[in-house]
Amino acid sequence: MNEAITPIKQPANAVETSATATGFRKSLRRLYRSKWMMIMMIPGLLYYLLFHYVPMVGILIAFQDYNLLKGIWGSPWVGWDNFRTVFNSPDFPLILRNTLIISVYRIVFNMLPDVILALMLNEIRSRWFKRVVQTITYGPHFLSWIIVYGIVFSLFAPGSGLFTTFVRDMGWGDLNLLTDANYFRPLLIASDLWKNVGFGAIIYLAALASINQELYEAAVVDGAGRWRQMWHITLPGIRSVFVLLLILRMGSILDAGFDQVYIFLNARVYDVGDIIDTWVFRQGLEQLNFSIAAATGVFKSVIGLVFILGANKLAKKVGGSGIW
Amino acid sequence: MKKSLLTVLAALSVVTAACSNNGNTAETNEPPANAEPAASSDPVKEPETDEKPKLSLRFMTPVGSASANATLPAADKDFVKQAIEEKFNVDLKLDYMVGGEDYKNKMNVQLAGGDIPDIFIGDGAASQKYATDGLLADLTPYLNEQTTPNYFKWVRQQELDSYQLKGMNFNRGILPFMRNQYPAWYVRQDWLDKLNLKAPTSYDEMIEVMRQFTNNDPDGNGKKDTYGFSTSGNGASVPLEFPQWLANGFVADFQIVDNKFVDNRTDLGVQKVIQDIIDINNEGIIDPDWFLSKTPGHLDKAAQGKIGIFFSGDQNVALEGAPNSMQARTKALIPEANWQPFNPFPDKPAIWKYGVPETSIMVGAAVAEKKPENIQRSFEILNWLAGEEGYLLTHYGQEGKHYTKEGNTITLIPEAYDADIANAGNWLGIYRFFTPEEPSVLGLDVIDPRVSPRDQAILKTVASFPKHDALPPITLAPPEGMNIGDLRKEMNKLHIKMIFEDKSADKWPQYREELMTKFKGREIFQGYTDQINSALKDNPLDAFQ
Repeated sequence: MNEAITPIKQPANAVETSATATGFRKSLRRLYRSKWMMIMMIPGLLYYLLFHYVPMVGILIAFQDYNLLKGIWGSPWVGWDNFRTVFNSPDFPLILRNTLIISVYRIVFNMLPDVILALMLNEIRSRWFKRVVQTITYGPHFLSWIIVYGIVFSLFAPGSGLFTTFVRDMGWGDLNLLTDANYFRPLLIASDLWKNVGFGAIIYLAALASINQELYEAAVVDGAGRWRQMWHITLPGIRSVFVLLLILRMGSILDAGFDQVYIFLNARVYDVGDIIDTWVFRQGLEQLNFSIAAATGVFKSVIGLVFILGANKLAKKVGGSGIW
Repeated sequence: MKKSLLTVLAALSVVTAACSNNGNTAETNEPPANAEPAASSDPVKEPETDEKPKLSLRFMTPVGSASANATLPAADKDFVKQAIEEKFNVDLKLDYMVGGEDYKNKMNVQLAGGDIPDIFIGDGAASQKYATDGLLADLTPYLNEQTTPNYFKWVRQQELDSYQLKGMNFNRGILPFMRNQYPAWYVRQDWLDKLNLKAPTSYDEMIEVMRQFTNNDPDGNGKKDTYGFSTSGNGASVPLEFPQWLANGFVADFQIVDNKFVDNRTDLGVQKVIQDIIDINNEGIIDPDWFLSKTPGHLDKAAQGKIGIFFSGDQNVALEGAPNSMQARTKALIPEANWQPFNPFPDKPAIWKYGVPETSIMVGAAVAEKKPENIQRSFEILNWLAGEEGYLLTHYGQEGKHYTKEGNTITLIPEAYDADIANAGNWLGIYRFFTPEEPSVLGLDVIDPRVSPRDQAILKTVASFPKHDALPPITLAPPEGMNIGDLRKEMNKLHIKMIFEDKSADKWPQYREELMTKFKGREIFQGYTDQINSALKDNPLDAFQ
């Protein structure tokens, strides 16, 4: 039987292989044609491989009693012990709460102003004025948090701050914003806003620029005013970008901005300002409890993944488009 | 491999030399001549050992706050680097940073990343942590009377022994430390004169001076913009620079009182200290920025003429002749400024404690295993730094250019020093990490032509303030599994909470109990007491309370 069939089958096989061969050759040719693009991609891919995939091996530390000398391969395994330690730590509920609150504040109070600034810039007719405003507003993005804290300190230092002195000289009493638990989070958000709002608006400006101008013309013909145009054309036009950014923000909901918080933190505002990352920093680098720090990091990543998937699903359900 | 080959070659050369000597003696048959060639073979061998392979070394070291703004010059102007590199055939990289939490974090990051410096220097707590984690190498082959004789001019073998942790190897070298301490409070004498006040000689007088400095416009600019006192809390703690500690009998950090070990910052008596601080804080006679101010923020303010009293452990801080001193900095802005030391507690037995070993020299176990030649060479360099040549170069500059030397007397040439060092980034201070400014240890006398009679008087006054030996020479380490860091953090938080939030120290006994139980203070300090008792065999202390 087999022998009888083979002669018939063979040509078919040959055709198939030649077909895939030409397909293969085609894709090879395509690859060759875009070889420069491919080569240019290599550094980017290498970067991700080296700095984002290889270090993932370090997750193992979370399940070990890690010792610097013995390294990843020599340290004893302890299963979920580190996670138990983290969740049972008296600090944990506090830092989780602080992290979530600060993160949500950031999403609410920093994403909307980005959109508003972009919309405002979009309405400006005079090009040079728009450019000037844009440059001024995104300039602070390039300052490091150390410098921003320096500025905040010289404004609000309880004794010598510019603003504090002004308030005192006006006879309105003493201000101590930097060490006041009630003002710590607003101060974080406000300085973050000052630093990043201009930069955040750029993405929306790009989205705004891509809206078809004919839509506006049609709306004008239909008698729509400025507000109507914004409501029916501009906002829907940037909705997908907004949703995209929101989903990405969700993925990092347990990152409440280590750089900034670490610098702004002082002993009087631990209760409202100590976040997961500052705690991890203390555990990992100040006390060398790497396993505890790594376990917390893994926990953070898992939550981040859940949030990003959830947000994506929600976005699809509500607005019809997500990232995937 | 390379090393063993070298040893074999060296051994061979010795054998052949011995053989030829033997042949010589056999011929001449003169025993004294036998000794001659053997001795003279040493200088012949010198150049051979000089051709050691070139090594790249990296030291990590904290620098004092006096060098906070110091930066190393370009390689061609850095004569210390040149001297070391030529002498020891190395590439030396010095990783320096002002000591403190950030320094410690940086060191931790490097160790965690496996990027271990050849020599690193850190405080006792950090070195204890590293030692228990098994990170540190045994220093026995590197740090001993034979290999580093100069080092033992600064640190005694017995101190080194008692500095080691129980059950551990010889892991922690002691960084040569200032035995004499020069702590003092400094006051603006010109302000005192203006307000017809005298240098305070009691706590109450000191507070009165602070009050007047705050309220009576001592700088005469018509504005109420000065404060009596300031310090830097770094947003974290209540510094021991507050005179309230001493006023309530707490000298520095630890002491023995009534035959009991006392941890000053968690003692019951802290209640009074904090209450006194709250009082002056509420009265507004200290700089309200003190808590958030980062070291040396309060000194910058004092240099701007906004602060009337500060505390310093640097004996040169008020010298007009010392470049970059507070006196020099303040004078640059306010010509009549005059900082003078004072002791508000002349009746107390001590104003501070004598210097104790607090800082460790460490070597990574991994480095010592893989590159023992690096460690050996590093200790040769450290030994040289501790010797006269290294000491003179790192403290006073180049002979003939920055100082002249006659016998044991060093005469400084301040103009040259200012031009090449003080006004060029004040960088020499960075290289002083290994030896404190105590020329008498090496039997040197230093004459600074710029030390005016005023400065001389200040030095004498500061040196005269009484110090005591707080504890027997022993290193205190928390018992296994206990974390003094957590305790201190909570303690600092509670101190601050009482001052700014409770605005009263009434709750301290309650807070303290929490520190003693929840944060295991009682067990840790009983552990300290036991450790001291093991050193004071015949006269043990009572149990910690």
